[in-house]
Amino acid sequence: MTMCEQLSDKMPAVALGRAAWTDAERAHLEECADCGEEWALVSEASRLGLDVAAGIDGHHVTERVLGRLRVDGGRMRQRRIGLAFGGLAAAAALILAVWPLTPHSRATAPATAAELTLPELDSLGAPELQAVLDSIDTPLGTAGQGVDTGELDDLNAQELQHVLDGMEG
Amino acid sequence: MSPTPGGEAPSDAELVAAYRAGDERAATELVRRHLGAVGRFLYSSGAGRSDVEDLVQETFFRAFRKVDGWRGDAAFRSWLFTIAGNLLRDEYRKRKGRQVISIEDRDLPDRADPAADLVANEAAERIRQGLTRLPRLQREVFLLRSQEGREYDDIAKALGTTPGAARVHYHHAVKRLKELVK
Repeated sequence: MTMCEQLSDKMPAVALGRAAWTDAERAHLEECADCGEEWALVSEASRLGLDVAAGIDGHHVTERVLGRLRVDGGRMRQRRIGLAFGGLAAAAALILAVWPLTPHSRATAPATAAELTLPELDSLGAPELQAVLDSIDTPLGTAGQGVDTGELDDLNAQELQHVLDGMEG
Repeated sequence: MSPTPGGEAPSDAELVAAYRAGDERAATELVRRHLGAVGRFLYSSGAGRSDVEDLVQETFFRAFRKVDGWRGDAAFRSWLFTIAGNLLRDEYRKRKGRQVISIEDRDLPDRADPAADLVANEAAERIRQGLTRLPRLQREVFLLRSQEGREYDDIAKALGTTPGAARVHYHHAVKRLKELVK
């Protein structure tokens, strides 16, 4: 490392009062125009803005910074709460949208979706089927009062057995 | 924030940890400790004299908001300088490229030797104007070296570069400033 490089590295520390020039270094600074220029620049720059810094009201700055941080902290908390509620609402909406598509929900769908096969009814004629339907549609509370059997009077024993089997499922 | 058991003042890292734990006095101490240096950095980088206090306030506000971003690898003050540098860049863009610097806002002190003060102030002002014409990395490396005496390792960590590159930036800055100040 040349003398010029050594001095260049040391200049900030000397300018800030953390180090001092040796006699040899001082002599070099006086002889070397390049180093002399750099030293003038660095020493001037090291003092730049000292008066401005001294004029800053530290108490005022601190109060304003802390005040803004308190307000900002409150806003951040509100934002976090808002985001939490928003997340819950979105999750709820998603569940409601997806629920009808799940196997569980399909299993509990109305019975109209189910296909029942009742081979016992295949051999029945229209009047007999109507009678069966009427008996099924009868409210439960009136079931005990009996089915209107007027239309069954003409059926033989085998046909009646078919009807009974159909009613029992 | 009380001194450490050994009687020494708490380090920046300890103050930051205390602030993260909710101790506002730690923030007050950090502001007190670094206020002047941040103000000088902003002024030397081209901020107008009348803007410096507001910019210092904004720098500390931004710093405390994202204090988790300081991992302690670079000095806290160097990290503050990078925030102040970003703030100046934002201000510069906000003003659509107009320099934040204002020559007219110089307040010449009333002293016994006004002629000598004037010469000194003119030299300082030329350096300040020269600094505003440097690329950002060159300016910040130069100020961290000349005003803070930071080593290249610390400067490199703060500015996200290598110590070798920081050294090169410093020497480029010196060379250009010499030309600009002449």
